[in-house]
Parts: sequence; structure tokens; C-alpha cells
Amino acid sequence: MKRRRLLAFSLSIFMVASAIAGCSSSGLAGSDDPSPSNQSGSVTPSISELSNEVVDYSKNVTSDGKTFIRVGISADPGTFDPLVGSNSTGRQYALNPMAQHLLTSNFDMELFGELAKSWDKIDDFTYIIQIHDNITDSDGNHLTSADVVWCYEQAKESGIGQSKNISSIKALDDYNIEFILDVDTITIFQSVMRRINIVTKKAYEDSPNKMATTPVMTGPYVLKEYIPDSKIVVEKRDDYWKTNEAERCFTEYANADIIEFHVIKEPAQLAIALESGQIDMVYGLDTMNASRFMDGESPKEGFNRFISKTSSVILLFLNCSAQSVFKDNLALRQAILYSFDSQAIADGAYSGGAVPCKAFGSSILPDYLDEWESDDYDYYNYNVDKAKELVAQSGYKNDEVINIMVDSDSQRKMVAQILQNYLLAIDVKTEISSYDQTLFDTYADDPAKWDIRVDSGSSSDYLASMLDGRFNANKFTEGMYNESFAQDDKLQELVIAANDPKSFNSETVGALVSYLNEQAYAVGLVNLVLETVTTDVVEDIVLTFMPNILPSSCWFVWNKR
Amino acid sequence: MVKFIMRRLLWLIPVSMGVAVVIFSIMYFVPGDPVQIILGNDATPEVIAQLRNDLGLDDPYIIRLGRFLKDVFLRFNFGESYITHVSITKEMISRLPRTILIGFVSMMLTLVIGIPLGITAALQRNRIGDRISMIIAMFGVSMPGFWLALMLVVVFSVNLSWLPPYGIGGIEYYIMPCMANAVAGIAGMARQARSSMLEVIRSDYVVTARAKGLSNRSVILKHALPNALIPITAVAGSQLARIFGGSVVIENVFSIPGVGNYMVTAINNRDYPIVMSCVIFLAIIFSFVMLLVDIAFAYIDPRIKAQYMGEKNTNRRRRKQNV
Repeated sequence: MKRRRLLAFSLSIFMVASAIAGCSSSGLAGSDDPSPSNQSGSVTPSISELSNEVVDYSKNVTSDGKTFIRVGISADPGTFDPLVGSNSTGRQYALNPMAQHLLTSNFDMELFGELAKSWDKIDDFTYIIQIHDNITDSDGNHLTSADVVWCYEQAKESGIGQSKNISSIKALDDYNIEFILDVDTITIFQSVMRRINIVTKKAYEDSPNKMATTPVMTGPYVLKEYIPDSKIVVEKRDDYWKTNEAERCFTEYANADIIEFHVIKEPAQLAIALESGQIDMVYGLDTMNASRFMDGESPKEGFNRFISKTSSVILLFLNCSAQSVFKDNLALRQAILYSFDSQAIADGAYSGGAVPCKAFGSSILPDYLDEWESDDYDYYNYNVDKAKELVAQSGYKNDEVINIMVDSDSQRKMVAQILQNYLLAIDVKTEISSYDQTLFDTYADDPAKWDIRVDSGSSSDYLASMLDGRFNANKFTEGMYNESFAQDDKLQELVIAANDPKSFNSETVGALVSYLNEQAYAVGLVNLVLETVTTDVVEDIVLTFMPNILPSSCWFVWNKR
Repeated sequence: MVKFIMRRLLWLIPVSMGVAVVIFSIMYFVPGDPVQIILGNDATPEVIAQLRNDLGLDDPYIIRLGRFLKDVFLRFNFGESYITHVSITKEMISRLPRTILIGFVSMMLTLVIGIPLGITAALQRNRIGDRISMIIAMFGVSMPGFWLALMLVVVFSVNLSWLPPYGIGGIEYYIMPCMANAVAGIAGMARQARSSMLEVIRSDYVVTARAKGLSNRSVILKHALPNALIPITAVAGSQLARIFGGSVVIENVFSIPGVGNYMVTAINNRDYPIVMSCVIFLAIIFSFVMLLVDIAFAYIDPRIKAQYMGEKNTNRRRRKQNV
């Protein structure tokens, strides 16, 4: 009897064990060499030292000799429809190698023609664009100015990007288009030119689902496989119309024959996939996961790490509407801004993946002034005594609880928690309300929902235009004025002056930032630094103006520059 | 029995309609504007208003509800995604097999491992076998699914390189998701099986069977087990619901493009048609499972079978009396 019971128990244990052990018999399909210990390569302290190293890239070559690169991305594009408004990260990743615009630009706002051969400014509002005469999409359809006009009309109807600022657009002939814009600001032309995807009308109308799953575009790559929420495979086009490689701009390189995008939504899984050799590169890996690929100061053997300063910034807005304690209380607003140490926020919430902000935007923006980087420049440098003094002056009673609103991003929530502790030190009571991104965006426009808002922002062009988007009252519904709900005519004048091409200069931008600081409506907390970790087949990375990585234009060990 | 099944199948209609009304109402009252997500921050108020009108979001609650119910239950059309304009029915059909595969295998593991583990624990009551089984079960119940999933990945993908850490492909891609999804169920099932078996083996009829000199194997398999299975079957139904619910997390961790993954993305994007379709779909699956559980009850428990048969006989008697 006892023996049978023992046998029964052993059988149960065996079943559990066999279920686990069963895993061992399975091979690892789709992975050429998953073991980190088998990955060849050398320690690469800097990119320049890489050039002489011999890296074995046989694991990135298919049986028919094509090179491929596998990129881990955190979001699916959802749709390849080029004419929808969504500009999500997943869409940018997937569309960049295939879609083209009239123009594109780099971080310094230098313009490059993609479909456009030349572009001329006729007057303050009128532009003539000439497109190449040999553009064809991956189905062989010839693209003319009529297609460009049609795409812009569709974009305008759908309210995509800055297309709303186009007064009229017409085809002058098969390859020349006239744009008349309704405003003249420093960035309007770039914004209109580089955001709208251009496809042929025929291909779009022939598509059964508006190209949602079957894009036909003019870029150097064509879609080969798409499994929603899992995988996107694009392959270099043999019939790409820009045959002269010297004519191609930085977004049009095709440095790998095949690019596979693997959709991995869990950040830890992105790092694991890279570590186990399932993918070759991850852009924007958080600092904690990126540190797994470091061996002291250098990247681990077989991996490279690229650090990019970006225009992304974490912002703090103070609600100056009648529904908040900050209304007409400059002392209290300033007290809040003096109460915290941005360096501690960068270290605590971003583990070094950020640097303290010295203005409202990032230091990589072309109109960022050098003087802001000076040690003498007081951008609400941490001063708890001054903050306490200002609180006393403000008349704030600590029975009034201040609401800090933040979205569901874990790092921004940590920023809010650190901030809460700093405010406690100056006897300001706060509570944190955290919402998912959609609800957060909805409540951002509601002055009753928050007093302090921790938000993120970035600019793909100038600091002045970033401030324009956040503080130009003309861009908000009546009564909202700007993102701080502050009714301030002087601020409005300064925003307009800094964004007018005729008066845009370091003085007007400096005056705007200076006034914003004086009034303590909002501040930049930290500038984010993005980490790209790759296997050693990647020698250099290329980013778009957004910024986002452009894997097709990155440099790999098999490329000759 | 056939009449019972037919009646239960007919009940599916009001149940799924009820679920549809509830989920529609919840989504209607949840703050957050899908139009803002579709158009982004640059859209003008006119364009926003136009799109709201095009999507019918300006219509009163009752009209939108009526339109939704008509599309789903009369036209069997779940519509298309607000954001991507892709047909939801088509997308669900392509994703469904993966979710069902994970759910089915997880359920099988739950039954095949959980029940023997619990029964063994009961037979070994208060001895080392019982204690080990219950410690394993306690671990299983306590571990969050996503944590276990990541631990499995670290062990089997990173350290041992036996299994792929994410994605879809051959059967090896589903081993870790199924294990991670099943462990809590196995633990729950083992605990339920143990307590049911303990209750049964103390019953008079089991004592009588032993007194008659039947072998232990015969007593357990023929007398105790069938009776212990009744509460286990009830738990199995709810475990399956838990497993399908858990697929939402598991599919996200392992990047499996299934229905759960689809639903999470849609919730974040306020893509109402997708969320509502997924919930209705899961409710229908759950209703079917509950029907199967009830049918299984009839086969396991003669009293329930007798009830169905008794109902049939009572009806016959009434008809005869009327004649």
C-alpha cells in the first residue's frame, strides 16, 4: 500500500518534471545562433575603434547571400495606410524604409529632397516644388504632380499634420506643384513638406483596404511579410527609381537587403531578445536594461552601444487658471520650481539616462542658446531655503492639497514621486493622480483636473516652435490660452515674435524663454538621452528628425562607406 | 439532454446581448476621445467635429447602442478599427487560433498535472508527499503570471538557450506561454482536488467499500474519484475563464499576436469597436465552456442526470394526464 502511494506521488512529480523537461527537446527555430557566449565580436569602447575589427556577420546573411538586420520595436504600426493621421512610433519604424515625402530634414533643419528635385520660395506664402520625373512605386506606377496634389488633398481632409495650413495646392504641370500656405512661420514649410506620405492615387485606390496591410510606396524597400503585432519584413527593391546612389539623401540608403522588425512590447523582453541573439538592435532601451550590455565602461563583447542626445524633454506645467492655487501667485510658482534638484530627478527616475534641463527644450535644438549652459545661468537651481521663503511669502496654507497629474509611464510616475517628496520638504502637500495616456491627454485640457502636470515633449525643429505649440493662444480653444491656462498678452507677443521668420533670432527666442522663466508657468526638468544597443554588426546608427532610428540607413559591417 | 443543450444554447443569445449592452455602456462612459488619438494634436476643431460625425460619436447613447447591437447580432459584422480601418472580424479570425491554442494547452496542463497532484496529496495526507505538493501549489498560486513568464524566459531562453523568448512560429514558441499561463491553474486545481478527495475518502460509502475488502485502487478509482470530480469540474470551468483572461498578459509578455494582445492595444487607443468585439467574443466562448461543464456534470453526477431525466419523465406524465 505504502509503496503504491509512493509510486503515485512519484508519478505526479514526474508529470511536472516532464512538462518542464519536455522543453529541452525543442530546437530553436528561426534563431541562427542564440547563445550569447557564441556571439563573435570584440569589446568596442567607441565606434572609431570598430573600423579595424573583423566581425563575423555570417549569422546576418541568408542562404541566398542577402544581408539582413533584425530590429526590436515596441509597437506595431497598426496600419500601413499612408494617409491616416496617426504618427505612432510603430508606424514611423515600419513606414520609414518604404514611404517617401517631398522633403525631409536633419536635426539642423537642413532640407533634403526625397521626391522633390528642387524647391523655391516665391513669396512669404508661395512655394514651387519640382519632383523627379522618374518616380515609380513598387507596383511600377509612375508618380506625377497630380498624385502629390491628391495626397495633400486627402491629408487636408483628414487633418493630418500641418496640412491645415495649406490655402491651395495645384499641379502646374506633370512635375511642378505650387503650394500657397496661410501662415508664415519659421517651420511651416518644413512641417508641410516632410510629414505627408506620398503615394500614387492608382495604387491607393486599387488597394482593397487603403494599403492597411498591402502598402505600395515609392521608397527603397517593399513590404514582404506582415504579421500584426508580431513581425514586419521589408526587402530592398530591385527597381528603386533613384538608381544613382549619389543622389540619395540620408533617409534613402538601403544598407541591408532585408530588415525584420520584431514587435516586442515588454521592455525587459526587448533586452532579452537582444541578449539571446534573436534581434540585432533596439533603439530607446531604458537605462536599466541597457546597463546589462555593459562590462564596466565598455560594451560587452559582441555588442555596441550608442548614446544619442534627443529633443525629448520632461516638462512641468503649473496651472495658472482660477481653479488652481497658482493663479496670481508668482511666489508659490517660483517656490515649487526652486524646491527640487533636477540632477536628482535625472539620477533617480532615469538612472543617468537624462541630464538636467536648462531651458524649456533640449540643447540639441538649433536655436538653443549657449548662455543657458553657463553655470551662472539660474534656471531655478535647487535652493530649498529660497523655496521655503517664497512659500511663506505666497500665503499658501498646507491644508490645500496640490494635485500632481502624470501619465502611466513608469519613469514619469517616478518623477512625480520624487517631486512630491521635495515639495514635502517645503511643507507643500501634494497628491499624485496617474492616468493612462489617452485620459491624461484629455485631462490636460481641463483646468479642474490638475495643479502640476508632469508631461513629456519634444521638437523636431526649433525650441521656438515647441514653445509656439505649447503657449501660442491662437492654437488653443477660447479660454484655455495655453498649456498653463495663463492669460498673458506679453507672453503671446513674445511667442509670435520668436516664430515669425522676419524676427526669429537669438534675441527673440532668448526673450521668450527668459519671460517664461520669470513667470514660472512651466519648466523643463530633464533632457532624455536615448540608448541604442546593437550587436557588433552595427557600426553606426542614423536617426530621423523625429527622432527615430532609421535601420535601413544605419551602417553595418558589410557596408563600405 | 438534447432539449437541455438546446435551451442552454438559446440562452447564449440574451447572455451575449447583455454582455454587449454592458460593455458598450462602460466604453461609452469611459473618458478619453478616440478622435483625438486618430487625428493627433494638430487637428483643427472642424476636422475633429467632422470625424466625430462620420464615426457617429455625436449620436445619443441609445442610437449608438442600437446601431451596435444591430451590426453585431443581425449583420454579424463587428465593424472596423477606428484607428487602422482594418476589419475586426478578419483580424479576430487570424488571431483566434493562437489564443485558443494557448488556452487549450494551458487547460490540459492544468487538468493533467493539477488533478493527480491534488489527489496524490490527499492520499498522502500530512505526509511528506502532501507537504511537497501543497508547497508547490502555494508557490503556483502566489506567483504573478507575468513574473513567472519573465523568469521562464531568463532560464530557458537566456541561460539555457532552449526556447525562443518571444514571437510565433513552431510549437516551441508556445511552450513557455502555456506553462506560464497554466501554473496558477495547476496550483488552484491541485488544492481543489486535494480538498475534494479528502472529503470523499472520509465518507461512509468509502469506509463501507474498504470494509467490503475492495482493493485501495478500486476504492479510489471507482468510488472516491467520481464523487471527488464533481467540485473539481465546477472549478475547471472557472479556471478556463481565468486562463483566457490571463492570455491578455501572457500574449503581451511573449509578443504573441492573439486576441488578448489585440484587446490591450485597443483599450489604450480607445478603439471601442475592437474592445467591445473582443469582450463579446470572450463572453461567448465562456458561455460555451460553462455549457460543456454542465453537460460534464450530467455525466459525472448521476443525481444531475436523473434531474434532467426526471424533468423529462415529469413532462411525459403531465402530457399523459392532460390526455
